[in-house]
Amino acid sequence: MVKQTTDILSGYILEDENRLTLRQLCDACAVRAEYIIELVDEGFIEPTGVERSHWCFSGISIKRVQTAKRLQHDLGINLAGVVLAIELIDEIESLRARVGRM
Amino acid sequence: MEYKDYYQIMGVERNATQDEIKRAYRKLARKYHPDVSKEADAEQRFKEVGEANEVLKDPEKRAAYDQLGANWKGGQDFNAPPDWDAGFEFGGGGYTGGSAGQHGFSEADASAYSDFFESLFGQRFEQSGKGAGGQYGQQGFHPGGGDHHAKILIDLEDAMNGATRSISLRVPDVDAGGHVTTKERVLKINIPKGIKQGQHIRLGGQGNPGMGQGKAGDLYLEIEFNPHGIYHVEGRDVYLDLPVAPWEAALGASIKAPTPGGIVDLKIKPGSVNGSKMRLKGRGIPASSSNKSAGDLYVVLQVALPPAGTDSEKEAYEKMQQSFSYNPRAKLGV
Repeated sequence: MVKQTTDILSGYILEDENRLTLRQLCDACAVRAEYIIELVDEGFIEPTGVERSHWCFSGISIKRVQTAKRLQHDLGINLAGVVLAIELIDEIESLRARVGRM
Repeated sequence: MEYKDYYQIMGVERNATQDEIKRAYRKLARKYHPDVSKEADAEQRFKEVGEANEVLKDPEKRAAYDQLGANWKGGQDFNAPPDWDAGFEFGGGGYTGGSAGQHGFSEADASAYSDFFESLFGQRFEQSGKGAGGQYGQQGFHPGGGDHHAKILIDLEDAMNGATRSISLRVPDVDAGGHVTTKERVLKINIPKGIKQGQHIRLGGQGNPGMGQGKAGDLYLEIEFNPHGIYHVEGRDVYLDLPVAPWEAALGASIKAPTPGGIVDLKIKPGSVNGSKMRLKGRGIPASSSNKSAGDLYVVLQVALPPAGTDSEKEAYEKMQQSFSYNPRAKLGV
C-alpha cells in the first residue's frame, strides 16, 4: 500500500477509500468484529450492503472507530456515550469552521 | 531535570483525599483528551495529567513522592536524593496503565513520561516491563506497534498541484537494554493532488514499530490548510472575495481576477451588487480520483468605495448625489 520511491512515501486518502470489508476494518483498527457491529447498530458508522458479508465501509470509518476506542478506553465512557460525544465534537468542529470563515 | 509538581498539575491540595484526586483526574482527562480538546498543547497536558495521576492515585507512590518535601516548585532543578525511596514498595511496577497498550493516548508509553518520573519510579518499570515481555514471549505473541497520528499543515497550492512535504515525528524507540527513548524520524510524504481540509492520508506500516516480530502500526496524517491570504476553502470549493469599483458593478466590466490556477479575465454583469456570486466551474481544488469531481471557484463581489480625497473626486460624489434619488435606509423606515 505504501510505495517507497526514492524515499518519498505515498499513502492514500482515507476518505476516498470506499471498499473496506468488515475484516479489513477490524484489522486496521485492531478490534473485534463484534465491536464494529455494535457501532453499526448505533448508526455511528454506516456500511453499504445489507448482509454482513457484503458490508463495505468507507475509509473514514477507520478514523471513527479508532477515536471511539480511544475515548472509551481513556475516559471510561460506554458505547452510546462515546457515540454521542463524537457526534457533538463533530458538530462543534463544523461550527468552529463556520465561525472561522466569518 | 525539572521537578514536577503533581499536585499543581492536578489542581488539588497536597492533603487531597484519594477520591478528590480521582475526580480531579477524570475531569482533567476529559478536558484535555486529544480527541476532545482543540488546544494546541492538549496532548502534552493530557500526558502530564496522566503522569501525575499515575503517582498520586497510588498511595505508595504518593507517599514516596510526598517524602521529597513540599518545598519544591514545579520546574525547579531536581535530582533524586540517594535512597530517597528507602522503605517503600511499589508493587504495581512503575506504570500501572500497562494493559492499555496501544488503545489510547494514555497508553503506558514510557516515552510519554518525564525524566523526573523516570528517575523516581522508572527502574521498577523496566523490571515489570521485562516481566510483561516475558509473558508475551511465552505465548509467542509479538505486540504490534501502535498507530501514529499526526497533523500536517499544507498550503492550498499543495492541494491544487500535489506536493512533497517533510515531516518529523517523535517515535518511541527501545534500545538493546530495554530502555525506552524517543527519537526523531523524518519522513518525506507525497501530498496527493486534490486532498481536502480534514482528510487523512494513511501510510500502512509507517506507524510505531512493533516489538519482536510484531507488525508496525500505521501512520495517519490529518490534513490542515494554512490560512490563505486571499482564498478560503470549503471542501474542494474555493472562495475569493473580489473587490470591484461601484461603476464596475453598476455598469458591468471586464476585469482580471486571481485564481489558484492563475490570473483569469472575468466579465462582471451590469447591475451586479455587493455579494454577487460568480461560479467558475472546475477551478477549485482538482478531483483526487476519477470518481470525484473538481471543486469550483466562487468569486464574491465586494463593492469597494473609492475615497473622496481630491476636489474632482468630491465633485463626482456631489454629482452622484444630485443624479440619484437613493435612500439606502429605505428598508429601515427612515
